[in-house]
This record gives sequence, structure tokens and C-alpha cells, in this order.
Amino acid sequence: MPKIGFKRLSRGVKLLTSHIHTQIQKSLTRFTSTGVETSNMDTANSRFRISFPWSGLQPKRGASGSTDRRQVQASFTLAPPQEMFRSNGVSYPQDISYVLDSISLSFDQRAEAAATKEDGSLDFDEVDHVEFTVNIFSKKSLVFGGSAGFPDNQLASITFDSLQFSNADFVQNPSIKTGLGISVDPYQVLFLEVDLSSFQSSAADLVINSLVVTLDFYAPLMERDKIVSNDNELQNIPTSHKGGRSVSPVTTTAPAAGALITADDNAAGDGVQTALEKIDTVFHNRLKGGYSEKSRQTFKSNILDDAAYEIIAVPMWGNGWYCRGGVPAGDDTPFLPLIGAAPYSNAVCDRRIIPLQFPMTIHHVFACVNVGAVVPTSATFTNKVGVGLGCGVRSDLFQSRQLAFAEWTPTNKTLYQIDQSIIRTENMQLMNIPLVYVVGEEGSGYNSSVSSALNDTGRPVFAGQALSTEFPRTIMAPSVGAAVPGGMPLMHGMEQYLEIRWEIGDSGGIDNMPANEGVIGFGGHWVYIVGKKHLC
Amino acid sequence: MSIRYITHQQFSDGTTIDGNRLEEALQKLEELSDGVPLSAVKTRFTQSQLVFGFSPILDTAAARRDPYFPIVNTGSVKNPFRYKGTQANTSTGLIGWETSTTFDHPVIIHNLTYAMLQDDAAGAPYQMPGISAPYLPPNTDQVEVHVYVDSEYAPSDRSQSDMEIHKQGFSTDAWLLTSTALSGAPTTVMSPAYPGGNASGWFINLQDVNIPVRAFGRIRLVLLIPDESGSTVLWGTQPWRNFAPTLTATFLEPLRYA
Repeated sequence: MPKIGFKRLSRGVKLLTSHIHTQIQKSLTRFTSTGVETSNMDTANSRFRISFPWSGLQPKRGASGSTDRRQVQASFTLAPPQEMFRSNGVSYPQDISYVLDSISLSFDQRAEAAATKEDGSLDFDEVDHVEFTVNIFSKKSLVFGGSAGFPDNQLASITFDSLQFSNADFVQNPSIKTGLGISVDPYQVLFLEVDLSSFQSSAADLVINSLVVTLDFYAPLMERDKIVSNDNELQNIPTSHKGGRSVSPVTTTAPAAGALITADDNAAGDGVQTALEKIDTVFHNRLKGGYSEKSRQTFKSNILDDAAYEIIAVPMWGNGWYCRGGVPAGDDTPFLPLIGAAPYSNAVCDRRIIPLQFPMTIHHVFACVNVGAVVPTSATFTNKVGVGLGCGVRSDLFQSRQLAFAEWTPTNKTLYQIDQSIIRTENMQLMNIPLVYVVGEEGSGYNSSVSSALNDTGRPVFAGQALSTEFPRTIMAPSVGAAVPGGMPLMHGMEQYLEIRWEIGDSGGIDNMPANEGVIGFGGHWVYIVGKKHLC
Repeated sequence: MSIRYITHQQFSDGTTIDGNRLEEALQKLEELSDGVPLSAVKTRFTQSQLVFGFSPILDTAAARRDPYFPIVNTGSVKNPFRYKGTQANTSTGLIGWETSTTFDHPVIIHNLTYAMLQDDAAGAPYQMPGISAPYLPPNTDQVEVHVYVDSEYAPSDRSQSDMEIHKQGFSTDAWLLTSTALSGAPTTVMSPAYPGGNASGWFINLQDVNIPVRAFGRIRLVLLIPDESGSTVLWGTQPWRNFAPTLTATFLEPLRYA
């Protein structure tokens, strides 16, 4: 929004209503009606952080460790919200942009300047080998014309050396590097790598637990999602507000032409003091926007751009899982829950439950498949990733509803695959997990407009706790590509959490897959929930 | 009424009102209108949810209990006790899952949730031992949740840490995910179906804790459970295998200057 240019006053100038009341009305309109945009805010950026936790990392496990235990990696992308997504993958100046501001790293060192071993004991002799290098790479994704090979660029490389972890009086754990200022393209695929090579040169089989690398970004605030003309534009949003702002316009009454402008009110209109008090009251009450924890719109809203970019990284199959086809040494396949007996043909599932605090609208879901050195080809090897909305915590209404889902094998993975890349020796596949939708009501994102091979995705889905007035919601499709709408979700607007599940299985048996084909690579898989959060 | 925020100028009939006073008031309003400061924004935070979690490896032979470590350090160590005020009401003590993070700006810890998920299907691996169907976790007071912020001046000395949350000796029956044993729908309403049955276990949800943390404060989030070599009746020989935890930490972060 352009700046408000006020007329200048000085001693001797004839006072007009355009000097006083018109100017004040411009401000009142901005703050009580149209709403403040980011261009008029000193603090126009919001922060979001992607946190990657790993545990049970033993880079040297086995005789001397294998090459694919030297690093842990993850690929991800910061896809724009659906209304800003361009199917040509080109970011324009008016589009959202992100800046990587800081990187932090921490791990559980048992509060000592020491390394840790598998049995949990401390090792002060090998702490010199406790060193991490965090690399960030980027490349053009496969669906936007990139290759299936190595990253194109390296955005950052930061070493957290052993000196930070070996000084008994000042262990810098967590450690943070700030002020990076690295711009990130929304359509690039990014790769985070933590190089653990130094651990492999240790004499001991060291273990790294609770390693957390956090990438802290910022991006401009933006307008929140709302229904403009049809309820099917947004799924599951409270019908009480449909994303709209609650405003209460305040106006000044300017004296009629030729009437005396006075300090106090008079019959002709507001006095100078009264007019200024009206806008002063707005600031005195301070400006508001966003939603409450219970998805209720702020009353009264002053801020138009009250939404912010959000991405939640969810670790799946982490904690040291390392499963490959065939019967390789050091393989964890026999220890998977409910995998059954060799050749391990049962489907197994990992799940996370994330409580909803403040409401968000979910625009995309992505999955990073860390397949390791050998990309699976077994036609019966199946991955299924699902995201659901659920309720039932200490409640007698235990329900859930599908929010996103994809199922693929090596044969049909192109229906969802955005990218495939190689970092060092490891392969990373980035998959789009479509949101639920009814045929004819598709959303935008990584869909058939980007690549004819890709499946379509649904429109954004609102997720948030509610009180009674926010229980009624717009229709949420029952599945991905449903023929007909499914009615109101079974939670009746009372969702409490997001549930993420990842199923892995080969009906022919993991042991019968070609040798070393990746089931779970070192460091595990990831699911990313991408959307908008709001001021609170 | 008076004008309190925009300017110190007040206007009243009978007092001197010249262009300079009016101009000053209007210029202040113009500055505010075109560059709203953070102090003028009431809802100036957004949430950041950090998610940590894992399914324990069911490797009984190797006794891999990642990511849990003993809470007591022995030998020539700086911090023989990592955590304050632990109540080891088992015969041998506790093990801890400690996750830490830091921010380069002040934040507020808003919520901390440990979902200690167990499965209710018969024979499912993530269960407390010896419970007959229908599965419902037994009550215990041996789970602890601690949150620390390291001392600003002696960050490596855990005895100087600020203990922000110290939750111990509570009955886990108060934090059951479901108060009754379930059967039926939830595992199949969403795909993929979960083979371990319905979600059960504990959902320790510390809501609206509202803990401000200074910039660069080192935040440590800790879950403590009994050690394996203690009383094995309730938790079994490998307590870390009884549940698959998800930790969700919700922070409120202030808006950032452009």
C-alpha cells in the first residue's frame, strides 16, 4: 500500500479540513477498514524454522563404517502458497521470497565436553572427532527441467568444529551461526547435509543422539486465506468467518465547507482533538490480526497481511533405522515393528502425532524419501504416506479424516515425484503428497499443470482447534480425487492434532529385494507440512 | 479523553493552536501510518512448531536405546548430575531423552507435548508389558518432564541452569491419550492403516506455559523414564521400547524487521 502523503502545515497557512480530517480519515480507513499491509509495517517479516532431528547415528557402525554413513541428508522445497504458485517454476519480484537467516546445531553430549558411545558411556579421548559440517545445496527440480543428478549450487557450508564441544568450561552446544542472509528460490529443491566424516576417523564407535539442525528463515507476511465467492475454495474452514476479517470502520465527521474548524467538537463536525483521538484510540488499543488459538477471528482486525509462511518438518523412520533390500550386514529390517519373519513381507508403519496449537491452512505436503545408495526397483516395494486430521485426546470422540495421501511403487512413482537427486553417494527423492479434493475442484501446486505425469492436488485445508461457533466447517473432500464431497469431517470442527503415517512394505519380502536397494537410508525419511500460520 | 499514543500535543478550544503544533501531530500520525512499529502491534507473534520423534528399534540383542542416555555422569566430569530434582523412585534411576535448541532472538515457549504413543493391538511391540486386552497403559508416576534454560554466565554448569518446567511424580492416568480402551475406527479412517491398532498411550500436553526465553538462550527439553535395570515389573527390561514418542515444541516468535 502506498504511503499516506500528508499535506504540510505551517504557521500562517489557512487551515482546511483537507489538512486535518481528510488526513486522519486516510489513516482511520487503513487501520479500521482496509487493513495494514506489510509495506506499511516496520516488522513486515515473520520467521519460520525447519528443524531436522536425528538420533541413533553411528557413522562408524560396523568395522569402519560404510560410505553411506558419512553424512545424513534431507531434501526439501519451500513451495509458495497455492495462490502464488506458478506452474512454470519462475519466481517473480512480487512473489514470496525467503531468506535463510541462521543455522543452529545441537546434540546430546550428556552435559560434558565428551563424545558418547553406543552404551551411553562418555569418551573424553575421542571428543576431537566430534565435528559437524552443515552443507546446504540447491538444484532445479526434475519437474522443472533439472537433472536427476547432483545439486547445482552450494548455498552454505558451516563447520561446527570440535573446539566448540571440547572446552569443559564453555561447551557451545547448542551452537548457532547468525546473519547468513541467503536468499532462497521457492522452486528450487534444497538439500541439507550434515557431514559426519570426522566421526568415522574416531577410534571408537561413537553415537550421536538428538542431533538437531535448525534452519531459521524469514519471509514477508501475506494475506490469509479466505473464501471469496465459493465455499469450495477452502476446505474445512469455519463457516462463521470463512477467513474474512472482522472490521469496524471508524470515521471522522469533517466540518462542512466553510465551517469553522475548532479544537473541540461543534455542530459542524468533529473537532481536531476528537478526530485525532479516534485514530489515537486505535493505536492505544494496539493493532490486531490473525486468529485466536480456537480459530476465532481477531476482533477487530486492523492488519490485512496477518498470515505467515510455515513449514513443519516431521521426522519419519529416523533414530538410526537403516534398512536395505537383500540381507546386508548391519541391516535393521528384522527390528521393524510387526515386520514378521524373514523374508519380511509385512507392511510396517511409522507415525507422529502433532498437536494443533494455533490454526494453520495447509497448502502442500511433501515427502523426502532417503533411499540410500541404490534406488529401489522392486515392483512390489510400496511406500504410502498419509496425513490426517484427528481428535480424541482425553475425549469420547475419537475420529480422524484424511488430509493428504499418496501411494507409490518404483513403477509409478512419477505420479508424485518432484525431484530425484544424488548427494555424495545417496539418493533423495522428493514426492508431492496430494491434498484431498473432489474431482473438478483441484488446487494448484505440483500437479498436472507442472508436469503431465503428476497427479493433481487439492485446495488448501484449514486445521485448527475450535469452540462452538467455529465448529461448522466448509466441506472437506473425503479422499484424493473423490467423486463426490464427503460432507463435514467426522471431527465436527474439533480437530486436535495432525497425524502423519508412513507405511513401507514389499509383499515379496524386503530380503528378496535386489541387494542393497534402499528401504530406509541413513537418517530416515521426512514429511513436510507447508502452509500459512497466522499472527497471534 | 486525551491523545496518548500518537503525540503529546493536546488541542482544546481556548488554547493556542498554531500550524506547527498541528503539523507535529499530523507528522507523527503519518510516520505511524506508513511504518507501523512492532510496539503498536498487539498480535506480533507467530508460532513455530518443532517436531521430534522416532520409533524405537526393536533390537533386543544390541540393547540400542537411542536416543536415551543415563542421567548421571561418573568419573572426572563437570556435571555429575545433568538434571535437577530428579525423583528416581525406581531402584536404579532414570534415563533421559534430551533435545535442545536455541534462537537468536527472544521467544516464548508456548506448548510442550510429549505424545508417548502405544499400540492397542494384541502383540504390538510398542506397549507396556503384561497388559491383557483390551490394552490400556498402566498408571505410573515414573515419567518426568523437565525444561531448562542454560545459565547465561555459566552455560556449561548444569547446576546453574534455570529450571523452567519440573514435572514429576504425576499420575500418567491423568494424561492418557484415551481414557478407555478403544476398538474400531480410527486406524482405518485415514490411510495408510496402522498395523499396531488404535493409538493408545500418554499424551502429556503442557499447554500455555508462557515461558519467555532470552535471545541465544539454550533451551533443553527432557523426557525422563526409568532405567532398564531397575524394577522391571512395570516397564519391562527395555523401557525405551514401550512407546514411540513424538515431541512437539511450540514457540512463539516475534515478527522480524524488514
